[in-house]
Order: sequence, then C-alpha cells, then structure tokens
Amino acid sequence: MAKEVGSARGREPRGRGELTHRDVEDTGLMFMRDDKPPRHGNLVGWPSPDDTRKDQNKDVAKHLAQKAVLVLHN
Amino acid sequence: MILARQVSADPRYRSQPSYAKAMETDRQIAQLAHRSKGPGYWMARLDLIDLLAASRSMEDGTVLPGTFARARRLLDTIPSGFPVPEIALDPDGEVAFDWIRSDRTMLSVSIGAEGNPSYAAGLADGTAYGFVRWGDTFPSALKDLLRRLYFPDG
Repeated sequence: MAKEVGSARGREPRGRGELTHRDVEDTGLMFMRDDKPPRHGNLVGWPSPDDTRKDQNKDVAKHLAQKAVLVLHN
Repeated sequence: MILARQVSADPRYRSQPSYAKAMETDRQIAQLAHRSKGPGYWMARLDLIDLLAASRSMEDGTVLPGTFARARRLLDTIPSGFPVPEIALDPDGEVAFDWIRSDRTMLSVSIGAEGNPSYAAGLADGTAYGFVRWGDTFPSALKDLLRRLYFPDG
C-alpha cells in the first residue's frame, strides 16, 4: 500500500511507522477504513479538526510517533 | 508530513523556474554567510530552501514566502548548544522543526506565515503543548523545553 501511495505522489516510500489499534485508541483517535486504496484508512477524531488548536493535534501526533515502530523499506 | 531531504532528492522538484534563481541565491548566501554556525545549521538551512522550492509543485501544501521567512528567522535564532532540528512540511503548509532524540523524547514546533508557533513536547519529565509568543528572539519557553529535552538532569 505504501508503494501505491508513494507512486500517486511521485515519490518512493522510504519507510513506514507501524501502529496497533490499541496505540491509536489510546490517543482517543479512531481508525476508519475506506479502502481507497485497498486496506487504506484514516485516523479520525482529532481534537481540533480545523487546526485552530493545532498544538493539541501535534500532541496527539507526538504520542503516535513515540509509539510507532519504524520499518525501513529496502 | 514530508521531510525536506526526501523531496529534495527527487529530481522532479529541482526544476522550478520561477523560484530557481532566488533559491540558488539564497543557497549561496547560506553557504557563505552561515558556515561559521556549523555544518548542521548549514544543512538545515538548505533543507528549508529545498522545502520551499519543492512545495511549489506538491499537493501536500504550499509553503508561503512569509512562512519561509519566519521559519528561517526562527532557525537563525536557535540558541547555541542545541542541535539543529529536522525540518519537515506539515499538511497545512506550515514548516515543522523537530528535535527527536534516540530515546524518542522530542519537541516539535510548527510555524506558519502568521500567528504564534505551536508546539508539542514529549520529555523525560512529562509532556507539554501549546502556543508560544514570538518576538525578535528565540522564545524562552522553547529554549526551556530544549534544555529539558537535551539536559534532563540539569
């Protein structure tokens, strides 16, 4: 899937961060699968959807980044 | 989020005619005038320039000239004694400065064309997020967060 996303954006993916459902749920976000492309989904439920409190969104993103397991692509 | 080094490696983004000359001039200034600050700063400055040039042809977000100017000014005022950050592009077009340590403690600051920079920090002694007032000098609140990030026992 990473290759499909990268291809659509004209770039080769260098790696990915892997998260579990539990990691996501612990932040208060939810995973909404949309299969566009197949197996893709979005994280929804961000504290400030319009970014007026971007600092709160960054705090959640920081928690995800700290939980993610880095997998480098060959 | 897109790291500057990722997009600058892509040859498609290196041929932006409307910005090429200005970017090259700024690149030369960065190389000549700020070498004294060390190679880390120099690379960060080039990352910032590449990010602005590359963002012109990307759907992810466009870095406005005002954003670039403010990001450059913030970079210029980072106190000595701290490493330069990784520079990335947020989906909303703001520039993010990320200081990330190997133990995953981190500070991320985002800056746009206007308004106060937002930040989020995950430190050994806790977490913090918010906005910082920013004038002509590096915000003291961010300096304190950097000190807690890199000198947690100090």
